[in-house]
Amino acid sequence: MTFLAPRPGGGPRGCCRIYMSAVLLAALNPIAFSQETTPPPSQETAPPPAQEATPPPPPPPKPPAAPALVIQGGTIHLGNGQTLEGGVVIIENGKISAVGADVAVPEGATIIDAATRHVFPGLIDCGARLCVDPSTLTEGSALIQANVVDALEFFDVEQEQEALSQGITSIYVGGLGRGNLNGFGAFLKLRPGATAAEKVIHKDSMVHVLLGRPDATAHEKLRAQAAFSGQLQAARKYIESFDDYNEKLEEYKKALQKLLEEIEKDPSKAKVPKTEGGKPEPEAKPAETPAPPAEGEGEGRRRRPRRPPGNVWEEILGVEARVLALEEPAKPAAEGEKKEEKKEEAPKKPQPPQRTPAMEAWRQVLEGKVTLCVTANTAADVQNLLDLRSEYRFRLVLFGGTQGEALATELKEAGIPLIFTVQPGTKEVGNAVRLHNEGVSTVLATAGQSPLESRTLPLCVASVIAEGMDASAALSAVTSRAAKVLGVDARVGSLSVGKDADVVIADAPPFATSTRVLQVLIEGRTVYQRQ
Amino acid sequence: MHTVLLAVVACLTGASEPANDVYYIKVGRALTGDGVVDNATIGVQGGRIQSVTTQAAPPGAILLDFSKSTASPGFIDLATQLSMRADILEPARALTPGADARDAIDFAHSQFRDAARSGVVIAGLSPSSGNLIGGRIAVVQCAGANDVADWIAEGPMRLSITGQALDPYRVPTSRAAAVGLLREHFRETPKLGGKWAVIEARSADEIRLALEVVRESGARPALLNPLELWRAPELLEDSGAGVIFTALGSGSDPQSLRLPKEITERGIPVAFSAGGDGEALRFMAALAVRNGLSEDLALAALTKVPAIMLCIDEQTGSLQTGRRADILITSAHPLDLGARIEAVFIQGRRVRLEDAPHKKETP
Repeated sequence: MTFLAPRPGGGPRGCCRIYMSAVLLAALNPIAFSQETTPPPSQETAPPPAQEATPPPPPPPKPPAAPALVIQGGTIHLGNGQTLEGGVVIIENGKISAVGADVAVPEGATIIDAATRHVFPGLIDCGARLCVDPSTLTEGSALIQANVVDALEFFDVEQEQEALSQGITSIYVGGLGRGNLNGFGAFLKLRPGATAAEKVIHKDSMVHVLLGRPDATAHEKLRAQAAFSGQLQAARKYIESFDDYNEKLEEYKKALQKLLEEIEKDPSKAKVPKTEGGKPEPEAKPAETPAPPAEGEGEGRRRRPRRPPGNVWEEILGVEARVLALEEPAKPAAEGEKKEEKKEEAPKKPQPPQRTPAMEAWRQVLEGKVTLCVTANTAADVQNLLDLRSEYRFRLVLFGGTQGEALATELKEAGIPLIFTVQPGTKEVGNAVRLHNEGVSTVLATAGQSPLESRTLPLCVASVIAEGMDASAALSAVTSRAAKVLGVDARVGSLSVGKDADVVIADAPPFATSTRVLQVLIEGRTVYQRQ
Repeated sequence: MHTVLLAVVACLTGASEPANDVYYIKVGRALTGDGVVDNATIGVQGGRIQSVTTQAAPPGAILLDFSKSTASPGFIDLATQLSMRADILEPARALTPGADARDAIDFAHSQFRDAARSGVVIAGLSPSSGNLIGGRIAVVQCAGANDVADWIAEGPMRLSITGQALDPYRVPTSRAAAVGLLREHFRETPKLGGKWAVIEARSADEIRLALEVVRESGARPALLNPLELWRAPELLEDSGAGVIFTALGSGSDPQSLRLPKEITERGIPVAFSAGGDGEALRFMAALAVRNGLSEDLALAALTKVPAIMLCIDEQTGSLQTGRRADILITSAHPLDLGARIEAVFIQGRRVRLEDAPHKKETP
């Protein structure tokens, strides 16, 4: 749910929405809501500014009677470890509708003859820097709530074509800064001509922290550790403060109810709750939404306190309203005397803790709604990370991990996937194989040192194959396994029924040096064709 | 088998001169530089290739069995600075034609051993780009007797007309004056004659000037890193020039990456150089192949072409009878990055791959 993600510039209004049902949100936050429901811009219009990016729009409308597309033949690498010799892939409305050796070819279908070719799913580079302006790769930390989409250059057609020409159809960009906290990453499809919003598949499910570059000094490492664990600690306190607040609200509600019962028995005892008194309460924050119906109230009573979670709030409002309604007739009788009593006995309304966008991001991490992607390379850094995880129980993806083989067993037991950044020619490449063989779910990615590096992904994978990884396992590592780790396996990563038709046709196996990519389809549309 | 093999290794590496023994290497495929021989047997005697045939080795001969692997000429990287650091840069003078990189080499440096283990059998040790005329490139075999590198020949002259060769604290400080100085130099001194001259030039106008100056010196120009050549590829027509790329990598712009393909199509020889690191050479060549260069020409850019530019093509750079036994054995085609290095022979001596910094030898 995109609209639950904290957005930069969301302001105090944005802070409340987490605790509310969608209905309440609609009422409370009309501006934000209408923004979400704006129809996605059509393919021809310019993309909106990235910070206003809408949630993943539905796939572009296709004429319902579009003829099926059939890729006939050759060696079909499914991306999940299996290979078919001489089957067909049938594509309808941008999705794969059938794969297999004895599948009936629909009539009137367009046929792509790939009898002597290799067919495989579009490759995914999880370590991409594509579309990134190098000047954004600064030393300083981005904010944890920042989103990489805001720093991407979506119009660089050349970079996109370079990657497509090597069979890369989707990328994950994240962890741009070289500081410690690097914000949310995004998963994009390289669809030429599409708007930014159409390219972005998700941008709010993984947040990046850098725990240690391999070349970091001891001091930098200590600082990174301290910053990371400090944030986790603060986030835990933050959540506790809200739990505390909710408990107090509950008490307040009970007190109100008790008061209501008393008033109902004896209207002369009517007491107005303290915060609903005649004069404005200075601490209460203004809110834009209209007050709930409360008969006979003056303007002063229309001010709204912050909303506690759905049900509690409604109950409190109801009770408050009834108290006030009963109180009204009693009021003119003996005002002065009663006000004295009120001040002594009226239940106190608790004050909500301050919300901040950064802490909201951390809260989502600790509540398991957002995955933490942590860059750590040395075994010591990985060990520290595992310790923190066992304390705070966040969902974790390890990024880098080039020297993490000593902790393979621990990673496997904890079920932590690894995005291994491959730098061909370095001795660490073999560690990818060892981690994979130990059972760690290992995804291969480029090391992302330049925006154009994604095009070297096939060569990076080849250098891992040289160290002993099975070729089909290596293909999975940049297709189905990558999609799973990134949470997009419902749409991409393998040639199977129901998946997006992101398909590459080449003249040789995917990772040979001499392989030429001949044609690339994304969602059934040809986006690259070799001349 | 193992004992025989160890004995051979011991006697090959232990000898101070190229071993006079005869032995045979059986390979699944030999990429000789002129063609492909499947199921080849390479005969080696006295550090030279005696034969490359499909006939079996004579009975009783020492046979190294790599029958599932591919043999190719060892890599030649012609513009490295292995072990040299700043020992060859002369900040005070723009022209140092008398300098020879041979005098700036630490032959026992471990960088040579690392280079040899990564498949680089011969390295050109080059003066830097900081002088208009930097001096002679030295041709060195990366492992000789006792695993120490050896000088084997005098290489081409090294020139530069990039901004790096201009220094505000010495004359000349402008490119025009620099080119003038070079012309004056070549008018007064003996011509370089028939040999190659390696000259660094990046931008299109530097390339034009480099070609002119080298032609006046009487040498054949080998342009080092002409990354802007894509702007004016016709400059090389009928120039007799060759090209050396050192800076092609994952960050290169697409036009530069397609250059090797485009200029080899015009019949211009292309070599790759990557600081003496065989892995980086393979990666660079593979990247060029992925961008259109043929695999054969890419392999030639690591073997035959640099041998020609260093004027040692009569001795090495291909697997032919009478040439030095500089042989690389890989588990598949050497430019397939999925292939592992299984053995490296330099002048018939087998290089130890244990404790390799980059790759572990497969059992």
